[in-house]
Amino acid sequence: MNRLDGQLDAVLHLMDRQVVDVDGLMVCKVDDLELMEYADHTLAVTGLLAGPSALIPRFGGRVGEKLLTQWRRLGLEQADRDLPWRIGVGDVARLGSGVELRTSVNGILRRQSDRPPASGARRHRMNDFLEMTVVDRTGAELGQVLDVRIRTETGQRQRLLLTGLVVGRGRPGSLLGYDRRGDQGPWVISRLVRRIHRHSGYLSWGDVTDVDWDGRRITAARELAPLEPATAGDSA
Amino acid sequence: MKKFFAVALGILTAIGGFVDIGDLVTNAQVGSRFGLSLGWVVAVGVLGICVFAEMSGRIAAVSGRATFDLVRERLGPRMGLLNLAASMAVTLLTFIAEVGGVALALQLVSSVSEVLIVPFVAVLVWLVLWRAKFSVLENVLGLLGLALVVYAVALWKLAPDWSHLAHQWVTVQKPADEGWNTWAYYAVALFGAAMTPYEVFFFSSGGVEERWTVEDLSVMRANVFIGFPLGGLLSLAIAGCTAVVLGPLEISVDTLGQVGLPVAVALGKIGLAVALLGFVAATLGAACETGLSVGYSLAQYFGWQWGKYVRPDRAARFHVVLGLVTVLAAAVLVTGVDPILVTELSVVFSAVALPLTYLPILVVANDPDYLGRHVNGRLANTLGVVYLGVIGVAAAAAIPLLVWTRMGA
Repeated sequence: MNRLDGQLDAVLHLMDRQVVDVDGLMVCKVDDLELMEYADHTLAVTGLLAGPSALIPRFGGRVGEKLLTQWRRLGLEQADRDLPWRIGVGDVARLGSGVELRTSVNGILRRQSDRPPASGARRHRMNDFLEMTVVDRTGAELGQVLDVRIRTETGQRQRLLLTGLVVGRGRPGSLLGYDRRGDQGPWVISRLVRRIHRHSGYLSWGDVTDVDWDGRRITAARELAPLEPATAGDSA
Repeated sequence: MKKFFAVALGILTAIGGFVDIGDLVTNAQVGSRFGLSLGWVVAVGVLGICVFAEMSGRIAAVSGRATFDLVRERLGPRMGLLNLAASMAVTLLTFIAEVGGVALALQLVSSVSEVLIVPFVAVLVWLVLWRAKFSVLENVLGLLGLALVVYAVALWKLAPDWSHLAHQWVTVQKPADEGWNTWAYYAVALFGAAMTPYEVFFFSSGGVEERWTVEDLSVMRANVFIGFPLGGLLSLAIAGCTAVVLGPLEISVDTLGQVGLPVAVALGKIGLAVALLGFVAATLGAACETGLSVGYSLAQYFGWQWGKYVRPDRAARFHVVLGLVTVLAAAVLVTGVDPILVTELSVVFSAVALPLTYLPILVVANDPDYLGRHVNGRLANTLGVVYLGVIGVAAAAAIPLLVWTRMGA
């Protein structure tokens, strides 16, 4: 099954997966994702990010901050110390239990560009988007972003378009995937995790009216819809 | 015919590779103090490791993902890192115990102090990890480990009162001079010795090394469900031998020599020589497996190339880790710390660390995204959930019991 043929959830199906080259040699992990914000309000995943400068910020909290300071201090002279390695989404041939690239491992990793992208787009990281607070128009809190649903556009291999958000209360166990599909065993764990995540829901990207990146706040025009699993591609 | 030999070889190495320093020491201690009254714990532990290994082996064969890939994917980088630190600490402790075990076994042969032997053992382990092919490492040491079958022969030769042993086992007949708290402590230790986390790290990563596919599932299952229980019988034979020979004399096992004593009593010099060969092979094999497991876990968490199926320079960071842990193990052991003590600690902390990797494996074994139609069936899930409970109880009880009984004193 190639997940890139259908919908996928960025955190559940792509983040932290092993990246392998065309011969099956290991390259890196998907430590974070490059998230591009375009002038027309669309968001898309355009690259896989790897390396300590992508991984360490994801630890979060005080430990994460300390580690990041340490990481910078070990290479003060390097201007690109904070820039992670990047692999373009177009270089991915297949997404299964791992991320399979089209090319050989040799020279595959390049530094993410630090120049602003063309035509008013802005570059973000998935980690900065996750856990943003989601509120409705009255300002009442709906939850926080737990995952991001994306899909390939037809004829467009370079990016994965964001189509919706998985919103919940940020309780543990979302990465196990039970909040999205109820038919996965064992029954006891499934029931427990689904109970913990009973408030989780789906928010279509079309219902998002505003994203405040600095205030880490997303405004939604509508209530959360029930959470359905991402539908895999036809070539399953 | 070729297939038959492959299956037979796999089963034989599974038997020979099952027993390590933890099983040797813990079973001998338990046998001498409690007879076979803790025999059912071995049975529970062996079935548990079968369930755990079958799931992780199936995931490795179908999806090509080894244990710590899944830990990070299902728990996230933060919890995954804590998990990595804890699991690696326990595996390192086991590695130190195994290297010390090889040195102790060689000390029995040469009468040279084990502290002096440790550096040579460390160099040997490192050379094997660096140069030897994966299949050579697994097959040669696994087959030599079969020498421990001498314990089964010794037990038969000792001609014990079988009905008494069976009675002790079935009715959980605890000796009157031991308390239930020490009995429970040794139950947890025995469980940890049978279900050591590194066994699964090694088993699943080894599956990736040997490039298992869906076609290898039946061979893998044969290895697990025939090889592991027979290995478990060897463990029981060790406990039985010490129960028969050392138990009545009130000798408690504190050295590897005492573990070998019943064989010497039953079969004389030749038997002891075979047992010593078995000790060296079993501990050396387990030393290689635990050393590799530390490298596998770290590399899988960070996404580095790992494995012995590529040239060492392709997996440079993995091999640097292997070198460093070997130096670390040698450094700890030359301080003169008693490897038997390290072993006792390692089996208890194994029980503590088990749930960390067991839960992610159980979840992924149910995920059709990874396994398609090979997800857990009803039996695998029933056993999987039962063992989640058993493992949870053992993990929660381990440290309180350790403190309460002062390490089973």
